[in-house]
Amino acid sequence: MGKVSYGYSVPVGPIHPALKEPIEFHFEIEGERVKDVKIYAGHAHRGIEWIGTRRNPIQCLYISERICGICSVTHALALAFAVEKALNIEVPPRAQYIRLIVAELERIHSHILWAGVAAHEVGFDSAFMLLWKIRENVMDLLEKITGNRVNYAIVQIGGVRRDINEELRREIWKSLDYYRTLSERIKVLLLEDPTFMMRTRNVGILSKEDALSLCAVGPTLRASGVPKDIRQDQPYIAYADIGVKAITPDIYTGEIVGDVYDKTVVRLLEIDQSIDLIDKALTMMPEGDIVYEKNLVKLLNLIKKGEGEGVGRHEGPRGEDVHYVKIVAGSENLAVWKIRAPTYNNLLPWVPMFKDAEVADIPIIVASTDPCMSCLNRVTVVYPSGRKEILTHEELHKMSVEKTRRMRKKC
Amino acid sequence: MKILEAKEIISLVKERLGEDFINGEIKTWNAGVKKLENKEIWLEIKPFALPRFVSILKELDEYPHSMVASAEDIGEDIQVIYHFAIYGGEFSRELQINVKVKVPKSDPRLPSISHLIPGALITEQEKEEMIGVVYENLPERKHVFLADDFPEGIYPWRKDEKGPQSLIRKVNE
Repeated sequence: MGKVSYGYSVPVGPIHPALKEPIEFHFEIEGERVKDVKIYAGHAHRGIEWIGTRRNPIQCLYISERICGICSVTHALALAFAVEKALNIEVPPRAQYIRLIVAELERIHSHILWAGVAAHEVGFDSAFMLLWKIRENVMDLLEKITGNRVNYAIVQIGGVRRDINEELRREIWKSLDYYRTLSERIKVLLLEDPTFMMRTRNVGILSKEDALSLCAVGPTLRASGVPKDIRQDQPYIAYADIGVKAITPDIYTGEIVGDVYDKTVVRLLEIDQSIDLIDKALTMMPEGDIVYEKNLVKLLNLIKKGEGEGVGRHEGPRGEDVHYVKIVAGSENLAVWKIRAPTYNNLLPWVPMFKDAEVADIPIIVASTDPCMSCLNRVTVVYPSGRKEILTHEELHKMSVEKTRRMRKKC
Repeated sequence: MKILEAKEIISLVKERLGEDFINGEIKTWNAGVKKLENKEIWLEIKPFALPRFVSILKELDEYPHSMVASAEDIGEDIQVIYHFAIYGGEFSRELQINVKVKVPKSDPRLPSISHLIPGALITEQEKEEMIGVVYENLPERKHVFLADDFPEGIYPWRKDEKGPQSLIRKVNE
């Protein structure tokens, strides 16, 4: 048998006006089914690692927040952690608790945002709007704590820049109560909706073996039944005191399929987990300093004299984020800065997820790993005769919505 | 799965790799009020012992997690550090293992480990295009982060690199 040639190929991407990280997919299609996919990343490589080697770690913190608008504290925490490990800087306990609170608030906002996007991709726009309205509360809370809705700038090398006072504590508790009352309703809204179930059950399945061998991270990995979470595996900051258990979908459904539905289950359960973690952190938070060295000149001198290398890892909402830094004596700039965002490790797991999927399922499968982009603007369908037809993001989205309507009529 | 201590892992690697083992150390760091201790292993081995090292990791943990590989141009050589994690899945059990290999810039050949850990493919492709490490037996060669028409033989992460002049001129025209 020679090489099997499939019907036609569908390039998806690379550029959509609204996204920060464009990506390109080349789908091999046979009829309505995806047979193979090739992924091309890096259409907008911004050279942040290179920029970082010309600046000191404190300046790099603010650049790292701009790697991604949604997981800003994720990158800042991972970088700060790497620098602290390289120079043996000890973070005061109170700062460790404040870092945890901000990181978990970010997880709540990111997961609700994702749930909204997932609902939108399958044509459930009323849920999308409702979820994004619910998300506003945590965004406002983050503004009260840090001063900003995104790019919080709360992390400093060796601690945090702002304290949480009594008034803020009450505000946080109020917000936690708000999300506690809503979390059950969000679960009913998505997980018990028959149409959402039909569109996500058995779609984009990632088996446990594939997830492990392709080194998937975050909810994408946990949805396949692997209880790995850095907060649990290698507890850092206040997670070491509070304790975390990785969430797998069988807690809710009793089984592990590894499809888009399971990824939704994991994320929604993680919202509850974050609420509990923040609650415990607020109760257990010790008194004391919030930063190792307040004076920035002294801190920079310390960095200049110090030498070493460190790997900082933080479990962001999308998965494990890794920063490697090397600092050499005599220079306050970073000698090497390597950033690995969660989407990087979730690129390869996409390939088995797309196998045998329908074209109309492409948007929800792409969205299911919570990538840092929504890259479905320009789709060119090339027919075997050579005729080309360009589908826009809206048209592809329309195809997805139509599939939902068709399925609804059937039942 | 038998859980070995960090010290035992270093002596196991030393014993198995023999002359290809250069050095190994354990770094520790604390977290929380309780000062929970976490350990990291930093190793340096000869480049061609890399697949053998990964096979040892696979004996310790069926699916070692490959986080990423970072690379640095250190003058005459290129240093690649592979970051692995094993024993995940339980509270405070995971062990991070960082493995350094140095290859000369004049002949930067490294054996690929993507046949042992398929998830390491993207990071190896990135090292190839960014710093010019040549991976032997890499299943697929393609640009991941650079454009397809990016000139051959120009590696942005090398410190003596001046960049793709032809592309720069085109931008200014």
